[in-house]
Amino acid sequence: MLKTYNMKSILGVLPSKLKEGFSINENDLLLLILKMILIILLVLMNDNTVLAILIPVIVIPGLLFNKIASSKYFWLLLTLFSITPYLVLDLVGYVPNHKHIFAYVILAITLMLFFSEKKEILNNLRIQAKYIIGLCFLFAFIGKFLAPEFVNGSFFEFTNTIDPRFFGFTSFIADVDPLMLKENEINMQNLLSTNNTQFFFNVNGAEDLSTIGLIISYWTIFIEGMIAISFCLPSGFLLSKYRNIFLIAFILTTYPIATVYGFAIILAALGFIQATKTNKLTKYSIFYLLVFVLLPLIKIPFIRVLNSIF
Amino acid sequence: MKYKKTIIRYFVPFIMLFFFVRNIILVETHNLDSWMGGGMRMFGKIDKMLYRVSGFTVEHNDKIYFVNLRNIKELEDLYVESKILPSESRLKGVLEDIKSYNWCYNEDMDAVIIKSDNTCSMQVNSENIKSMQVYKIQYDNENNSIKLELINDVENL
Repeated sequence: MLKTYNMKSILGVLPSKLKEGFSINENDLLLLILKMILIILLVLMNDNTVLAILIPVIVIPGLLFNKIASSKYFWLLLTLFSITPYLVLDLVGYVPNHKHIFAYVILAITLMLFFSEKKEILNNLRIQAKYIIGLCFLFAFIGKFLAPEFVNGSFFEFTNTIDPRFFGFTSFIADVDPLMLKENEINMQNLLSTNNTQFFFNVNGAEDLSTIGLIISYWTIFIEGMIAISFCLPSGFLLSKYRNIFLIAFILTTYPIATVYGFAIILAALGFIQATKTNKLTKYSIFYLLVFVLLPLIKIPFIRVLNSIF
Repeated sequence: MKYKKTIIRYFVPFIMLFFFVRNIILVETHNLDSWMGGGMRMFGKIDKMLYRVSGFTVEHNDKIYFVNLRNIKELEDLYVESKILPSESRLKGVLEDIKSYNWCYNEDMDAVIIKSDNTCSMQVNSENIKSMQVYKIQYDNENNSIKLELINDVENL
């Protein structure tokens, strides 16, 4: 007899289901993880002509056939294709930090497939994901103290008024005229293209952002520090148990404002990997999975939409 | 067996640490953009390669002209690599590459530009190229102004 569900019964069991987690076979979970990484590579690993042509040819069979996706030799091939541009030639062309993370993740998967016992692969991958997130935030955290302009708040004063990705946020939070911010952007482009190295300009709206700049700086230092500590600590420590709360707080407070798609999606995938448990999707892993799927929506200029409505 | 397991477990963290330390050293010694090189130091310093200006000076008719590489599509790769790591040796190499192109003076623009088929006729000898410079942004939060500050300057010998 078919079991029927209505909305009320689904909503009734959802909280307890979220608490205890959703069952999933370990093999299916490993395949899901490998395919999430392959999707990222297919969408974002196209930095030069060689990668743009070859990566789809390599990755698509992995997405279509499970045996290929879980083959260690397939991942060894991807390791070679990622290490060369992202870790060997990374100081010649433009390689942002999340591309290094792509290479670390691929390398970790390959190592685990080659050297772990079959039943241990996923567990070891969870540990690798935790280390990669923890170290990434630890380095970012240390980096903040190596930048005096970050600690005194002027980094965000500058960035919020010069980088167009933040204009919606700046005009909303500090009530700065978007046209004045647009003028900053034009002046900056002129400065970068100038043949007159004495050229200078005054930034519009920065004086309204000194307090906000400091608040954002200290929040960033706090949240990155907490993520670094909680992910680097062994799981036995109390703080380690709260690591997903810190990471989710970072995602929710950062990506609606700073639309850094490449970094956000690899972070969501790594968050998902480390938040799963043996044969189980936890509520945190479901959150990361949702972020992974819904992330393209961050390209919608929410604040500009809100501004135009109200 | 246990030794092997430990190596596998900490291999990727060790590589990450290597790139972080390399980033710090190269930023301090060779003007590497702190956002680059896998140091994970993004959203820290204002100075990054996207806000750097790279170009060279050339003498023509007793006047010194600065040629901004950003405006020359043919030299995009040189432009990017000179901004990421403007070390002495890299800038010297870039300067040699620049000298291998043909340059000319455009009277209407009062600028030195790369020679293409239908542009100016006044050729500029590559011997007149004086030096190569990379600048970074300097943001003064007292008066909210932005100007350029020289990072490195390499003479054409």
